This record gives sequence, C-alpha cells and structure tokens, in this order.
Amino acid sequence: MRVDTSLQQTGGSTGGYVGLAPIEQTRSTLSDQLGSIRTRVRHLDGDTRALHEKTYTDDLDQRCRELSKANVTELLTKLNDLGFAWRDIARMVGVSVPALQKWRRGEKITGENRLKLAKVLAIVEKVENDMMVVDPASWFEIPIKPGVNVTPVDLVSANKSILVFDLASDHDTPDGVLDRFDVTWREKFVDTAFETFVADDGIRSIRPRG
Amino acid sequence: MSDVVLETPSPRDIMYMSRGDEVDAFRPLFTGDIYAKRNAGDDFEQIVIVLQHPCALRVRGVELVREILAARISVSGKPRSDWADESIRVMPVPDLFQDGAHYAADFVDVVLIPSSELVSKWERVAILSELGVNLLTQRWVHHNSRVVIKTVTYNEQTAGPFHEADLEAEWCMMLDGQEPQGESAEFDFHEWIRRPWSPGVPMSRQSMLDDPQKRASVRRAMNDEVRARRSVETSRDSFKDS
Repeated sequence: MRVDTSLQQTGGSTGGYVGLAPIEQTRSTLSDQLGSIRTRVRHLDGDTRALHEKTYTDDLDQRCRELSKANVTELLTKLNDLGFAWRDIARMVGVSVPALQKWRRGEKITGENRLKLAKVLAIVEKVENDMMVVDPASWFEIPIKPGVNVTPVDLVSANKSILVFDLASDHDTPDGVLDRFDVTWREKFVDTAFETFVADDGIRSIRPRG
Repeated sequence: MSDVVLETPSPRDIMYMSRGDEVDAFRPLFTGDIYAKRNAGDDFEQIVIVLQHPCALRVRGVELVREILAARISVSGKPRSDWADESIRVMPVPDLFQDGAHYAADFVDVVLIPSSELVSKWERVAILSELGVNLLTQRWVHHNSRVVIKTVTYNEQTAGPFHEADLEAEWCMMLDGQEPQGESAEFDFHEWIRRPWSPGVPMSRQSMLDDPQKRASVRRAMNDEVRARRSVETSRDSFKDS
C-alpha cells in the first residue's frame, strides 16, 4: 500500500527542481490516490471480515459438535460453575427458566435445544480460551459500554455471537458493535433523562440526570 | 424527555418468568407476583398483582411487611399492539393462564392483603420476568406521578434485588429438596448473603449483587457454600444410618 513515487517524475521541469509537478497538481493527485487506497482498504476490510466471520462460524460449529456429545447436566454445570445466572443461560439458549430447570432435573431435552446449549458453552469457551477473557461470566454480564444497557448476553440471545467475538478480540469498538447490534441503540438503551446512583442508605436509587 | 413512552414487551410472553405449574415454589415473594384465591367451587374468585417495590417488601431482611399492596386483576380485552396507547390506569396481563384470555391489573382498584394470608392461602399463578417487573414499575410510577422512566433504568435499579431472589430460590431448592421445608433455608440464605464478602472486603455479598462485575463471584461463592452444606448433610445422614 505505498503511495506511487512516480508522482515525483510527472509534470515538466521548472527551475532547478527537475521532475516535480506544481504543488497544486501534486496535492490533487495525492488526494486521488489516497482516496483510491481507502476504497481498496474498505473493500479488503469487507472481504477479510466476511472470511473472518466464516472462520469464527466454522470453529464454533466444530466446538459445538464436540460439546454436544457431553451430558446435558455436565454442560449446564460448567456454565453455572463459571458463575452464569440460570436466567442468563436460559436467555442465551432461547428457552424459559422453567424449561432449563426441567433439564437440570434430568427431563428430556430435544436435539435442537441440546445443540443450542452446546453452542452457548462453545461461545463462552472460545471467548475465554482464544480471546483471553478472564472471568467470562462477569464479562458477559457487564454492559458493552458504560451507560448502555446492552451486554454480551444480549448479543448471544439475539443470535449475534460474531459481535461477541469482535468485541472480545478488539476487532470492533463498543460503538461499532452496538451499531451492528441495533442502529437505534442510542434511543432504546440509553436513558438521557434519568440515572441510577447509590443513595445514602446504600440502596441503588433513581434521579434525574444533571 | 418528551419522546419517552410507556413500553411494550415484544413478544409479549417475555414479560413472564413462569406461569401456572411452572411457578417456582422456592422463589421468594417479589414485585409483580400474581396471586389468585379460590372460592368454595375451586374457581379463582380474586386475582391480584403485587405492586410494592422489592426494597419495600421486607423488614429485617427476611420478614415480609405485615400487609402487601396489590392491584386487582380482571378479565380484559386483547392488549393494544402498542402499550403506550393503553389506559394509564392499567397494566395489561395478557394470556395469564395460557388459555388465550387476557387480563389487566387496575391501578385504581388496589388492596392491602396480610402477607401471611397471601403466602399461605393464595396461590401464586405467575411470576414476572425482570422486564415484566420493570414494565409494571414503569406503568405504576407513571400512573402515580406522570413521570415515564425507561425500563433500562429501572433494570439497573432492580437488578440487585432480582438476582438476590434468583439466588435465594436456588439456595432453598438445593438445600430443601423437592418442596420448601419452612423458613430455615430462607433465614440461612439471608444470613449468608448479608455477610461481608471477606474479612478484608467489608462490602456484603448482597451489595455486590448490585454490580454486574461482581455478581458472578457471588454466584460461584454460593455454589461452593451450597455444596459444602450438602456435603455436611450427606455425612450427617450416613452417620445416622450407620
């Protein structure tokens, strides 16, 4: 991605500076070339992003297949031992809390739900092991950006695990991830009128901002 | 502030955590719980929804206040697709019994029910999800004050008590077995959750539940505690048997 140095040889010879174009022309050509480079970079970014997302998905599918061989209780226990709330596990799998409680008691789980459960654990393990997130249960529960009520649990629940990986690996910014999650996030998930605070009695309370 | 409106759950079922026989008997009474009372003919003669904020339901940690403020629920038409268009006096309670019939809680028909009676003589027929509780609080506060606060803000405020209720239900289920065995597990839980996190960290486990960064640590600590207590119980039982 080097700027074309032949630029210096364009234009006529003036004075003692042989090969240099007039400064206006040089600036204009440079601007065109940089514009062209940016376009190429943008296309390249799109291509690599698509390829990167495919590798995420393939890797996740592989992990998911392996994990789905395990006992359901074992999968649930792993997530619970990491510190995930049963409610969040249920949301990420896409079932109700009572349904999850039934599986804990050994009741039958459909093949589809078994795969969904394995996928949740696969996502968590990938974030923990490949992206070096210490204490993944906490990380998944913390808002992506302070003051915005969206967490990685919400991303998984919305079936957008790619965004989780981009966030955990710093391949996208919190704002970028939020834009890709829901373009209306600033209206939906941010309260510009009220805020919470810890009152004198130690209880979290609500007050107008400012 | 003018563009903030009363919100609508989508899909509407996400306002419930559980209904009917899926209601967790171990879960402590909480804001938004729906109780029904049967008449002699075994039909529900009264249905109510608990209105009080979680922080106003108990004294000294575990004891329920003497009387619980609730709103009566009755049969209603299908809720509008946008709940901002509903009467501000009601909280829609769609498909409460999962039979297609819709209900609504009436904020101008409120009752005080002795807590001892509510938990012993009424039947809990539904528990609201975190979003459901926040929607109820949003509408109840708006009805009383004309102020609309986004559910995301209520969510930040009620998350700690909601997670505590989750943990209490889990603790009691793991230590009581199939059915609640009175109040001892509940008292034990409250004693444990109010203890400081560690000798060097005076913050209680309960306060730590307010902070999303610390909740997972409290859950892991509780898992360890429950396992230790169950192991002691198992050893005691085998000692008795021998």
